[in-house]
Amino acid sequence: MEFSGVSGMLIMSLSYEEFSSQAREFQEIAESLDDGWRLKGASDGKHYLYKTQYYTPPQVLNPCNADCSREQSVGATDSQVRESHEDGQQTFVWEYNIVYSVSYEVPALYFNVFKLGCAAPLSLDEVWDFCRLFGAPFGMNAEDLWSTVTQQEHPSTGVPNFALHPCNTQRMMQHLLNSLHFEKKNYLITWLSSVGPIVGIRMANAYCPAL
Amino acid sequence: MSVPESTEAPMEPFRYTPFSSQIDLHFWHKLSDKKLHELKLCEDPVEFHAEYEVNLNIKDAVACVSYDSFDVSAGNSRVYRLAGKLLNKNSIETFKNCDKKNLLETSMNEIIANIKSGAALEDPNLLNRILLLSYADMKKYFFYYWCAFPSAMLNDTQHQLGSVIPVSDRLSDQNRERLAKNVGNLPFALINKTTFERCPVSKMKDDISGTHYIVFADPSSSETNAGWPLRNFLLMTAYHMPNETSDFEVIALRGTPRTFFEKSKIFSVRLLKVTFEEPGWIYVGYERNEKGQYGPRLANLSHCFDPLVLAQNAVDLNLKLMKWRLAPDLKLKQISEMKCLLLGAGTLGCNVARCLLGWGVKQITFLDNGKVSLSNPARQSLFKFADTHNGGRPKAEAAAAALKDIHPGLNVQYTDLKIPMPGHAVSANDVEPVREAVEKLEKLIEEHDAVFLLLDTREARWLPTMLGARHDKMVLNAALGFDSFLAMRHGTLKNKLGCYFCNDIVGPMNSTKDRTLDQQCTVTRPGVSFMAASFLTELFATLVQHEHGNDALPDNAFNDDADELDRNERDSPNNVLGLAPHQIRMFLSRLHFMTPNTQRFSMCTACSPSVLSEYGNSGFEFLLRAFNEPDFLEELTGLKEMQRMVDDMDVLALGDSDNDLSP
Ligand SMILES: [Zn+2]
Repeated sequence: MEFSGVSGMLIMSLSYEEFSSQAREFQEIAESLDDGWRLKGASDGKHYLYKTQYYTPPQVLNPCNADCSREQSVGATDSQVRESHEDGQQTFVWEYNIVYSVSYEVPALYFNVFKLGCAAPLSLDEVWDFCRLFGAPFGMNAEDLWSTVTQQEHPSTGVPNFALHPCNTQRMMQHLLNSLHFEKKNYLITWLSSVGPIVGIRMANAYCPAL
Repeated sequence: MSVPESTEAPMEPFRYTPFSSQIDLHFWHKLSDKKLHELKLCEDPVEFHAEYEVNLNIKDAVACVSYDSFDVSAGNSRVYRLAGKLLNKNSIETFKNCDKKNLLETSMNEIIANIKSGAALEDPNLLNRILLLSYADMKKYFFYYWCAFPSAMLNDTQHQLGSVIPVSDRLSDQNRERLAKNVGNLPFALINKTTFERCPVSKMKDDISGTHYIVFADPSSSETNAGWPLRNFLLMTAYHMPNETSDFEVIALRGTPRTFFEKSKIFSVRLLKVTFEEPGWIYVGYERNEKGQYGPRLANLSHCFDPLVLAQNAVDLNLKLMKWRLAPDLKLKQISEMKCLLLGAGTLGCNVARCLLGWGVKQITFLDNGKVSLSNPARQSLFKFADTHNGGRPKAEAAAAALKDIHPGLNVQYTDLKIPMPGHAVSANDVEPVREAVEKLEKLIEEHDAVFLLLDTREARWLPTMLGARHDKMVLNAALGFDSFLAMRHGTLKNKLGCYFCNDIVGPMNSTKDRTLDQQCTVTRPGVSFMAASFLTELFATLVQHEHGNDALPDNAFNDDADELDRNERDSPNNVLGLAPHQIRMFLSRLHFMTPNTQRFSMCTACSPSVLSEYGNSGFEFLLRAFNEPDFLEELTGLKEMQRMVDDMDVLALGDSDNDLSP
């Protein structure tokens, strides 16, 4: 963690070692809370946090854009099966990744959203509708956070993801530092509890008693 | 053993929530990679696995296939694993034609063999399998796939008893804690109903129906059904149990170990003993697709994997950000769907094209008749040294190719065409080619929404100006001086603004004979073309976004004389992108801007009613006269008459062709 003045602004960065150790602690808390975050090691040896979350909105917000084709029927009718989504409710799958941004020396949030059963992720417009929904109760200015969204390849898996671009992270952390009781050992948690809600990440208070 | 007499309604079959496969991008990405580098044309089955969890709080029983699904060693205590086989086919035909029934039967027969041999008693993980049949069309990034979770069914051998009850109705918190502790992270267990001790699964060979719970990790959260993994476990139970009929209580573990699976349910099931030799067994387990049919799914991942689509998305995303952040009322589609015709592929043409690309414009047509010369690449931003070889590549073609290189998703066309001009006489031999050129140009103008005049002579602008007015197109025009530029939009009948020629009291003549600065863009300060191109493109975007579009009136409050801007007007929703001036004139040496408006001129040689109706009546014959007869247009419009009247007044108007009057 560096606090150095550049053009009159404090710079708040996080080294990979700090990220890695905080990610490990984070994962331990998550495990104790059954919060689903997993620490994964990519082929490049770098760690990242990963979580899949399922969300069934009150009504179907978005249609799935994947094409389907049909073929001949297989097997006879199974009288012992009852499909779960016969009530028309659609479940969405959110995949979150917290990766380390080497160029910005901060954590970065990557994500994709799928309709359950569809491999093709939702478009940004569709995701955007969700995020307005998520952000509203927190009084969050979704536009502000979303102004940094880009589509980028996941640095470890190479799969295209939406990403909250880390260019603003240091500045945001600086604001938080000024306004909150904030300790550097809680960098990752503080950051995630700030940007997470907009994409539907809820953080239990137990992650950080100090907050 | 007696089958209980059913005096009441017939017994309900015991029902299961099937697995829903959730195969994510990472997996397809990995599979593509594997196919290219490892599998190649091999169709042998590949080992992989899916995972399921018990606290997802959704009704679906999700089987995830993901990034590390090929990684046999990866593991996590919170998830349960389904081992499986991937059968990736090389063609859509082999995918379609392979015997799917046989695949399912073969896999289920292995499971039955493991049940019979007792192997599955020792390792219940052998009971559940995932089959994934796939075909990857790597050109289109289409992935066809079909999952199966093999099981088997014999009618009237599994019945639901009574209703499903919450675990808390039966077990105290303390007992639930003991249960959770003794089950650990096993997918299946037999738990003593009083001691909550776990006994080996093989103990089901004894009659344990009254003494033990069957416990399983349930990926479903359905109120009425048990999750799919239980199905084959109950088949094994029905095979090994000593009695012809037994009733079991099954605890479906749901929730989290931390809270001792607080959401668990207890199901009651009556099983009839089976041998798998009975007639009437059917094999089940193929997943339905999104339409609810038994059929494969197609994952179209072109927008994730196809570099062309990704590039397009990236352009669009940039623009969307602008919309979200700064201009929520921005209608990006209106801009990106504009078909733009760029007349001239020189410095202005190249730079306007680059700017349009930034706005997400997808259809651009270049028109030029020049060739790329050695002096061009330095200033004309789409050309390279190589384009100058062999006498030079045609500019329109080279510019189109360069644009396509930058953004392959564009629809870029080009036409090598010389625009006929007044004062450039057409010889008898040239009449037909010129007629063709006119027809081609008029057709292009008709086909496009916006016409950009980026030509280096004044008279070359005459015909497209006239045709643009005739077809009521959006016409944008840029002209360069040595250290000045003009960027303007041509007026319409509604807004009564002028065109490029409306200011003139002389008709367009052959200016190349005696060039003046304002018409010659090769002798300009290098930055001027970039500035003019960007002002013109932004004017275009502003106009497209304007409530009144091409008919928008300019805001008179905004000119260099008025230092007070009407802020309300500026911020009004009519003008998403702000002001849409008629003309922007800049003088670089003084860093001076002007945004003058000029009226449509009734004697204009390009847009006046007399010219337009004459073209309408006489067509090409009229044009020929305009090309060939020096004063024809001026006589037609009455300009000549006016000139005679004011001759003595020594008019110092725009004077850019006064020399042309002398021979
Ligand atoms: Zn005019």
